[in-house]
Amino acid sequence: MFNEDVAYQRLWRRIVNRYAFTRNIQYTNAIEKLYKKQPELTYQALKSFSEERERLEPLQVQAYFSQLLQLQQKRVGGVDPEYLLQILLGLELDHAWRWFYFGLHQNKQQLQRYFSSEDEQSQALFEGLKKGVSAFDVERVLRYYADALTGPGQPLKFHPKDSTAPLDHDYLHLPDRVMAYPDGEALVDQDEDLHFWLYKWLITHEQGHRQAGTYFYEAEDEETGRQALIEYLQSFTDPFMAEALFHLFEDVRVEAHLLRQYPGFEAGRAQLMQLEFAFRPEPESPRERFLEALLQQLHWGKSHIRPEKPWQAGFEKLLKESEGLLEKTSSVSDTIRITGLAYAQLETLFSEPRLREPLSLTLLPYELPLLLDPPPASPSSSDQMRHLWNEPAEDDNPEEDTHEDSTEGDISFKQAFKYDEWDYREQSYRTNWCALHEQPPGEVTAVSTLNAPQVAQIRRAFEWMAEEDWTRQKRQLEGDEIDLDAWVEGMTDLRAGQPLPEKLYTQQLRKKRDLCATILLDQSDSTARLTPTGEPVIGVEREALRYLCEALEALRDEYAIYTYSGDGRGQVDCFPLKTFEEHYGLTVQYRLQALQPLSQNRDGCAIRHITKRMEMQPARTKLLLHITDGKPWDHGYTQKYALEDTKKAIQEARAQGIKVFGVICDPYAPAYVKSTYGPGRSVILKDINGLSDLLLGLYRKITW
Amino acid sequence: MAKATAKRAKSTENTPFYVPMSDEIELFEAAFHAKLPVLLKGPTGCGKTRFVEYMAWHLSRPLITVACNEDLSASDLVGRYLITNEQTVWQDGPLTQGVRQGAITYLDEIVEARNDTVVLIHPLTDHRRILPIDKLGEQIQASDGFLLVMSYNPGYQSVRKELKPSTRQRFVSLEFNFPTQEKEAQIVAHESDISFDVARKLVYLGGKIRNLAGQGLEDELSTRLLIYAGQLMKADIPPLSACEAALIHPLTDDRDLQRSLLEVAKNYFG
Repeated sequence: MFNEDVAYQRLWRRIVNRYAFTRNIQYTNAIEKLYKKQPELTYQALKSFSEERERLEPLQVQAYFSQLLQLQQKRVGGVDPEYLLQILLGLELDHAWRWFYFGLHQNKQQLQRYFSSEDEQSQALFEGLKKGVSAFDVERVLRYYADALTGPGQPLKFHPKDSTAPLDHDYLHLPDRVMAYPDGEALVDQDEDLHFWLYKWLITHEQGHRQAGTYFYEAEDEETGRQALIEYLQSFTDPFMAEALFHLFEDVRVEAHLLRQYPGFEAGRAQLMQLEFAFRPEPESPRERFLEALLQQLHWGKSHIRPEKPWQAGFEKLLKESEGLLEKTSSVSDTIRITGLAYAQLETLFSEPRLREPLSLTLLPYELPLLLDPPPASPSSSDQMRHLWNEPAEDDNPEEDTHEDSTEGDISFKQAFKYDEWDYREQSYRTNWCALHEQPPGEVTAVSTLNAPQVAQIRRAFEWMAEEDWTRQKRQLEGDEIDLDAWVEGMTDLRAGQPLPEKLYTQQLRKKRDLCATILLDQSDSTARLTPTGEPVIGVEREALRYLCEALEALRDEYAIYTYSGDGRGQVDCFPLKTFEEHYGLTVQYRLQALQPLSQNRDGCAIRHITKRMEMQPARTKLLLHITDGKPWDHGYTQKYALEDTKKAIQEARAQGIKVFGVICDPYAPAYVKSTYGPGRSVILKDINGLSDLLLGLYRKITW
Repeated sequence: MAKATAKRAKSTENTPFYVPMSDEIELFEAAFHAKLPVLLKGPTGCGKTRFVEYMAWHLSRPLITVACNEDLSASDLVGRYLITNEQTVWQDGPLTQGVRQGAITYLDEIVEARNDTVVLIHPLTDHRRILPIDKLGEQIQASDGFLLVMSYNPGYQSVRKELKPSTRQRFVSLEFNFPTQEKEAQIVAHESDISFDVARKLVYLGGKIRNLAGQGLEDELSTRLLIYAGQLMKADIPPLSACEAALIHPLTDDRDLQRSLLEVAKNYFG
């Protein structure tokens, strides 16, 4: 008998304190049971991860103990708990389970070795599962792909799991890595294509749900439909079972829909099924056997599991009923009906207890955003959540804006530039509503170095573009060469009795670009967001601006750079990083380097200020490049009110002859943000790290 | 020198193939009879030129097309003296020919032309309908059948190349866009001589690609490119290669984007 009960208890308390989930009795059962059978092992296991393994997620801890318990129950000897932990730490959870089940299904002799870290096959599988394709590697390709499928109005939101993206139930979380498939003895097809294909299938599948109306159950909009579904599922005594069945049948319906639309998926899907069904965990109870047989039949058209006498009739009836799901005209209501039927069948056939946790009856390596269990928003992300469009704004109503009641009396308000603001509900301006201050920008005393070859390349490209403007102008009064066309035409005219034209020369002349540009950058706190590479957005913007400056210097265009932020209508701050008069010297670079996320952004006011600044510029073509996240946001300045005011400010700028272009740094900016700038006058940046290239390309294109 | 082509006569044998999108035929016809100049707005490759060809045939007028470019001078449009056998002969430019013959005169991509050239057409567009030719000291009155038609692609993003409002205001504008999917499939099937089913797949794929316009793709995918893809398939090029060559590579050099588009193509032709 293990005699360290006290030590165990102490450890146990520590675990309980650290992991809230352990208060859930069900999760602790595995540990308790294991402790009864193998106290020493349990103690060692608890100890090892309580001390060093802070990185373990609750679900991993749970998996760890239930794996140990299962091994114990199957009487597998020679298990190395450290090895199990390594596997859990090294793999996605579902891959770790895959690895585990694969081991459990080895023959007896193999089984003893598999979990002892000495087994080559076990290690090979671990390595294979580790490979896969990372969602980060292919994120950009997938993003374009998803946009192409859905169209700009309704972006399919997805993120690689563990990215810093906001949590939200309508984001699809892609697993970090997709699985590799073990095929019996050896690993097959480790090639990248299959893995990429899986990601693609995940996205297409989710898009299929939207198209086939999964979330529109008895409703016109997704939100209500989702709610109706949840209510329906919760009306069952066993909602988890109802949900599992619903997913099973709905996936069948949606996949039929997708294959009708995209016949090209046929081959890939067949391959997936082949791999998927080559190996499945063995069902344990009769009900599980029934469900597994159903899953295989519905997706694969055949099954490893023979129907058993007691349930064969019911099973076949269900299969027959679900044929209707393949019809083009089927809807989510049909799935609901069959879910009800299947649920009733299960109740009559089996007397197993209700499920205590979600059951997966899908073939996808991820779960759909679960109906019954949407991921909770963590408190730290609530700020980001506020910025999401679908979130109700706390302070959408400017009337209730108490934030700066005293602004009129404020001295700083009086010294400021005052601007009107457009109130779309009143269809009128609020006069002198905002006060903008030009603030001295911050400076640092050193700049990071830019990539020298890249700078050289940019300068060359843009100098070349500037030189393109040196063209040989025809039909000039004087010049270094005779214009042969003009001369021949002139001599002909002369013979025909016409006077000889005077303009007979060609001359190398610089076509005057006659262009000035202002770059206006939103410096609000949303630029603190991290990009997938872990750098804040503002950092990427800083660098992109410096590259752009190099290009503009090479072009010799007149330009200015302003940033803005603020806190309420009485305190809109605008920072001239470089005015038209200033040179791009070290001071400007120090200011660029010092850019940090500030607070809110009142876009309309800032645009009006730039319009005023540009009025005085003599150039014929004036360009305002507005770099923003597309979400104007300030106290009493949100949503439609803010967008309408921004739109109005842009119209005012246009009326002054300024061409306004928007660069929207949010891949999920809704389509109507683009309409703020007018057709063809904005770009939505899909990948923030591409900002520099985009700015250079855009500038070159629109000023050509 | 401007490239000018003249086509004549209404023969049933070579009826230009054209599927009307809405009431553009009636509008054009009405403008023609009321002697109002016409501006065709729309993205590249959506059928503007084909429409003009069709209308010229439909109205039994000759068609003169001028592809505009930066170096297009007034003489290129109006005409010039040439020397032949020790003599000088006046040679009408395409615009003058159109005015005299009463042809439909089509200035394609007018924004490309120099501003002084564009101004030349102003007196032709109002009630006077005259073309002054300085060198001849003449003002030619346009014949009855003359109609000035210009095309313009508003999606063109350069801030330095825009059609001046004073010019735009002189024209009746017909807005063109890509046809509905059924009609576009009909067009692609007809023009590239492939089955309607394959054409429809191409068109669905095209619709998905167009979702990316302005979100990675700079330009809209034209119906013309869809037809090219169909023609390559007709010539037994494997469908995916045809899509790459005709739909994907002409649109973008971005490798990720190329891959994304290929993946969409695979959904239909994989």
